[in-house]
Amino acid sequence: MNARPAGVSRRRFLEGAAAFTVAAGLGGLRLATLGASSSTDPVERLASLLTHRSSAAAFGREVLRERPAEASAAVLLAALRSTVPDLDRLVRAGSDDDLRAAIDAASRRDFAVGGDAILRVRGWVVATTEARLCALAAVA
Amino acid sequence: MFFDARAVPTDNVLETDLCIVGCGAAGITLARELSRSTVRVVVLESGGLAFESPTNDLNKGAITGLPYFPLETARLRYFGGSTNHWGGLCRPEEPGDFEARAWIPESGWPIGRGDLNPYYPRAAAIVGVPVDDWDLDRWRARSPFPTLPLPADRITTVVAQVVESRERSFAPRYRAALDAAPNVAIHLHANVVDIETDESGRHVRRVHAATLEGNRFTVAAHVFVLATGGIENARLLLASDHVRPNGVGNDHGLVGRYFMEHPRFIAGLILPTDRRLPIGFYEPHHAGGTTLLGYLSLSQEAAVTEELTDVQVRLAPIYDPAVQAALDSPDVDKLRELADWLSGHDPVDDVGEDLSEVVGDLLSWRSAMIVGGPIPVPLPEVVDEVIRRARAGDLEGVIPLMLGDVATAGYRQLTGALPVTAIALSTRIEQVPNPDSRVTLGSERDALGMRRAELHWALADLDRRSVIRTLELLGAELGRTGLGRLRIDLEEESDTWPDDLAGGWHHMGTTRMSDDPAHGVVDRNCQVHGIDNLYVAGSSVFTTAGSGTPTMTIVALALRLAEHLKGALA
Repeated sequence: MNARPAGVSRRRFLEGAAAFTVAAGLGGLRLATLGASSSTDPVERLASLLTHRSSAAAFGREVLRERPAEASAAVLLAALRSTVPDLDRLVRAGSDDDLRAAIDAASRRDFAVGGDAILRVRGWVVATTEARLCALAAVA
Repeated sequence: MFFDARAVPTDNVLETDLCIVGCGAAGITLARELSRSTVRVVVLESGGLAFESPTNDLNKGAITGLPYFPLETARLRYFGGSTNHWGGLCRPEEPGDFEARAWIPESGWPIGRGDLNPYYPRAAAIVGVPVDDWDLDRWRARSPFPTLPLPADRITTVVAQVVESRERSFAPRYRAALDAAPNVAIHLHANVVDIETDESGRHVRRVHAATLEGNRFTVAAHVFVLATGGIENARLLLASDHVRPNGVGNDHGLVGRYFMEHPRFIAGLILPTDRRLPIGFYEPHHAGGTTLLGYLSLSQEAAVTEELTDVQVRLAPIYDPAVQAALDSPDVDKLRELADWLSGHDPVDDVGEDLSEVVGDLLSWRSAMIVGGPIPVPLPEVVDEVIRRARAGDLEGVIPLMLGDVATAGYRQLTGALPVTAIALSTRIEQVPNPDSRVTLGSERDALGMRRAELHWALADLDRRSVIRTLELLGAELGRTGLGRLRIDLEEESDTWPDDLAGGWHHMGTTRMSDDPAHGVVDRNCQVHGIDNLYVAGSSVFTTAGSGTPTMTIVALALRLAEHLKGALA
């Protein structure tokens, strides 16, 4: 019983490791538990949720390569408002945990809905909500 | 009884009721079944009782399509056939595998799963499956590891079993019984080079056999069965072109076409949210008296809705390099051998040497630790379990858990949850029937003067789309449930396949089954259309590749054919 089956070559393994460069943006989204922000600027407030912000921005740039029409904060915010209920109120008055929970719930809904609510970014299957959040970090 | 064909005088004619060509899983099963009858059986086996290069070189052929294994390594020509290097993975076909699916061209067997149900339990016993049970819920209860919490209406887990390595070859298991059968004559080193029909081409008179030593003889029988594998069955039919220029049974040009495999390659990656995502169920592990292995796939309902072919996904953990090095340690392999030895079977070679090399380590198991690994040291769970099992006298359970690198393997065995860097997705596809994927005859000839086979393996767009869409849906469910994110490494708009594309050593479809001679070479009874006494056994008759692994179905079909032949020859 080999732990690494035939076919998972060293090259593949390194590709897997390299994938983290791109995926770190998602990791930043998932792992963010610090960094509460008092900013009321919605773009800054949302981007501050991402602990690994530079990784998120790198991933966000990949997202915008796929969706260049969304390469502005205004467009991304409008799109996020369409999938995250009550976003403006949460940005103004919610806690970071409230915001994270709302974005996480919206992302899960995207996955459940499928179709256009999911996109592929350099092969990664991601929810549009989380992808737009990363894109926001890229344009902020 | 066994005979050496090299001693048969040239121009001799052996007369019999039934002539079986080939002595692999199908041929041996047929011979065994008929050994309990009054039917006189002659079996012609190309090789001897062990591997011989000159004989196996007769399998050599050209590869003109997608890269494939050298043909001389893909099949073995000696008693036991390719069971002599079989991987032992078993799973029967699902009922849906036999049904026509409008989006899969040429799908739909003329028989259903119900026709094979009476034979599958015996087939399982014949191939050495310890537990003839494929019900996921029951295996969930038996396995120490959970399945992933994914919605069953979209993503399901299927189970396969791995036959123990020493049980896989049919040769040692069935040689004595066949040797003792008075009505079965197995001629070793007898290579069939031609199928001779009458002038109408509708009745086989005899087959011509040759040995590499030069003598040639024929076998005249009432009925003939080809059981030489998915490439050689087609090659023999195509090469026998004296009466019909297209070969025997090839009036519709189908012989050799629709060659199918179970293509496999790493098609993506999972980045789990929790690096300790429990995937032990999806790695080979001991459960309920067998070695079990789970795969992820779309539910049948989802596959129908999406109009896809079956794609099974094996989860292959990629560990931190320090952990991986530990798992790859020679000591782990040695202890696995020891564990096998202790399980009550025949001793493996060099087991004493292995024991002496690790005995020192066994004495110091309390210092178990992983250097540089992410696991706390010492490993209290492992130590506690070792003590518990040792007190219970469970030596087999203790040894893989002992120490050092071995503790890493032991920890995984206990918890199924070593932290992973990522999880590679090894996909296995039910290849779509494709007439351009085919076996033909090349211009080069082998040592016996037969034209060598040429394999042009080709995949279709639906094969690619099925992988991508299956992984998209799996990725969506992983995201929805919060288990992780998934990357797909296969491009939609591409004509190329991954570098690691390979088959499963499964050769199917080249004499496919259909009730309509315009769509199949054999009928539902495995009889070649238009020929009154020629049959084909083995996976070359598969109409579609199926979601199971072929060996059990090959044997089930052979049992069914044996029953049919008993009636036909009565």
